[in-house]
Amino acid sequence: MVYLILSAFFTFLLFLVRRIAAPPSVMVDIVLSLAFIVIIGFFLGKFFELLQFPAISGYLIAGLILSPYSFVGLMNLEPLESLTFITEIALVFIAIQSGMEMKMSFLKKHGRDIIKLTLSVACITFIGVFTASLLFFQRISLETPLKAAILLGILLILKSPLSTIAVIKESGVKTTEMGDTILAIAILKDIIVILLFAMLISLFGGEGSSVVLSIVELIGSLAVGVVVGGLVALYMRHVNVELSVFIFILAFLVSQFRFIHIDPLLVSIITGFFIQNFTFAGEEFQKVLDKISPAIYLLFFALVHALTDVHAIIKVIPIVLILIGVKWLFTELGLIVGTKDTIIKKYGSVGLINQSGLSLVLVLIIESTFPQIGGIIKVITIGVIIITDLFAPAMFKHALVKAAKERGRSRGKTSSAP
Amino acid sequence: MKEYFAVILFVIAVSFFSARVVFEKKRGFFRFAGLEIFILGVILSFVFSGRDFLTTLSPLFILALAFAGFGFGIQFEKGILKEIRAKSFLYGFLASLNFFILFFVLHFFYPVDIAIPLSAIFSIPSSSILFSIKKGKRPVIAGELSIVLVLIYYTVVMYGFKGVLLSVVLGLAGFLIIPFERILEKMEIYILFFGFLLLIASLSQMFNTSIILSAFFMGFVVAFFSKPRYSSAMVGRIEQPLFLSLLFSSGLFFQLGSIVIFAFLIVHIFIRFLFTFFLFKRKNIFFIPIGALGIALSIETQAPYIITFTAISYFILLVVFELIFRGGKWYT
Repeated sequence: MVYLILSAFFTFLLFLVRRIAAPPSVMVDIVLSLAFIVIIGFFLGKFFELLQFPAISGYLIAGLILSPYSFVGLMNLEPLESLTFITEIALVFIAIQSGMEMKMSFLKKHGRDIIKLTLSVACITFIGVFTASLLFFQRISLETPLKAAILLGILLILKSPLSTIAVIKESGVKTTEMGDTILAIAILKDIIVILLFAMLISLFGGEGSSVVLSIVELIGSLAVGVVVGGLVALYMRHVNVELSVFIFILAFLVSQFRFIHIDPLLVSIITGFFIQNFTFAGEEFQKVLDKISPAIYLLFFALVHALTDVHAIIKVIPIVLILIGVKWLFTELGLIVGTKDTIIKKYGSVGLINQSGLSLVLVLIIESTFPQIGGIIKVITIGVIIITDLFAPAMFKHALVKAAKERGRSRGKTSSAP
Repeated sequence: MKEYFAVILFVIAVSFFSARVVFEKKRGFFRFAGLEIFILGVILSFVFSGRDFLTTLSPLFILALAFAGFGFGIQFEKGILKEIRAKSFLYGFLASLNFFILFFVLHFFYPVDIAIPLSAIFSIPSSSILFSIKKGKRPVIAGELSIVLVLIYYTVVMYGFKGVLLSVVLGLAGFLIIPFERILEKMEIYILFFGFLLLIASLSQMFNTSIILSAFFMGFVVAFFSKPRYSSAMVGRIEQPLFLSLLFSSGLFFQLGSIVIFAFLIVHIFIRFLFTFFLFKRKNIFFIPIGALGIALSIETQAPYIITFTAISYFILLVVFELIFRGGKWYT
């Protein structure tokens, strides 16, 4: 409660400051905006954590409250726009972290069954979301409804491995087969979506785009990712000082790769994947990433949402709710088709419903690459993230506990059977 | 605009990083003078010539100033304050008079608005050298007290008594962080420090008072009311990047003035020598260079002339200091 009071207090303070005096320059306004984003975002994040929600939900709501588009209108647009370079750097950081979640050992352990299940869930969810969004985009007469529906369909497949891990840890269930399965699906879905996404962006990207060019760019990005990962490992073997500053420099450099037609996101994910699975440095690198991640998440999620038009989200709430329903239903179908495990069929879809932070990263790329359709895709995705973040983690936690109990009971029955 | 921020942040990170990696084993003057960072700033100032560029960087300067004040304030741990005797106050007060003597000399050569910051800058020795030479010893405490007094004189003259009061009030923000020390992780506490420093720095600018003094009071509150070891760790953590950022900023403002600068520099070094000699009678703090706070004050003026002057003086004093006081662990 203290955190909520403090958030309210600082929001009121910002309101007062805005009424009493105007910043003498845009520069001071930038510092003031960043200060309140950090403080209010931090306290709201802590408040949400106490409520057993992801802290990201707090950052995201702080951003929406402070947004120049919100009904309070406490911040100006210009200073916030000057800070978008922070989100570009953070984006690379988050992508590296996502790449590091993909552990080969984990995937090997779960084998073919999990790949089959993931493909089933991903394909069926895509079909459902794609169809629903195509109908919606056609109804609102969007310029290129098919392209928009494909991109949104792919985005809504995603499910955050990071939040999955967090919920599994919080649930206190020690051996959780369902948790492991959901995590494996989330990780595999990340890989599939990112590969598809990189290809689609190159393919839809511009007049000169072609399949051959997109494949060349894709291979180039993969190769650069491996090289960067190798360089990181070399650095960690021979130098290994100031890792957090090193990561910042790395993130900055990788974020600039887009100027040479190399996808920064794919490079980052491959870098993370390579460091984790093919070098000795995975564990230490992961530790440093985990250490600095709260600050990165706070800045990224709060800033991105501060630049989001809240009114636009409110307008698309009906379609957001429909898409969440469709995603849920088709995920359930995917599980039914892909697995024989009754417990996963029964509880698994709850774990796969909430949208990942990575989709926010991808949606920003869509927004900058396809300005005509990027805006609507962004508001819908953010709407899905906000709403699913409000209920899905708590439901997943509950499902994990119930699944573990049920699994225990069924094992007891099996072992006591003659 | 955002490209500028990104480039500068990147350059600072690279500079800091290279200083740590490449020059880690340097000795003496080159050990951590930061000359290479300063020169990098000078080169970039030519690349991005024009005042607009410097104005664009204001947020960076604002943050660096706040960190400079905070880094100084956080040195005032309970343990150190217990060492203070009446004599320390007296010495500190006498040392702070350097400000008025310098002002008296300088006002014959410069307009008042330049003479005041210059007097403050040159009466402030490096607080971190003081901190690292002999922690808790009387001359050091007196030196630190003199810095506080000079900061207050400076704020009173530039912003009035209201400015000092406002800085105190803003510094009280430190009390909002202390209760969370036991609950939050270290990284979370750093995020809070970062947020609060940004806040009081921007409010200081908006309500017209010294960013450095406000941040100093916040650091003081945190150091005095929190665990001592924690405060010392903070100083070590923020000192190097902060100082390098300040030197880099000085380089960006580089602008050579008239030859009078150098004449005054020599006079200033001489006055500094006499003052410390008669006051403390200790060889090793005769020529304590201008530290992060002095450079921060010069940047707060945003006057290229003053900033260049301060930076050159810093490097000269650093060489002199190195010649006299060899081999010890020191920087900034």
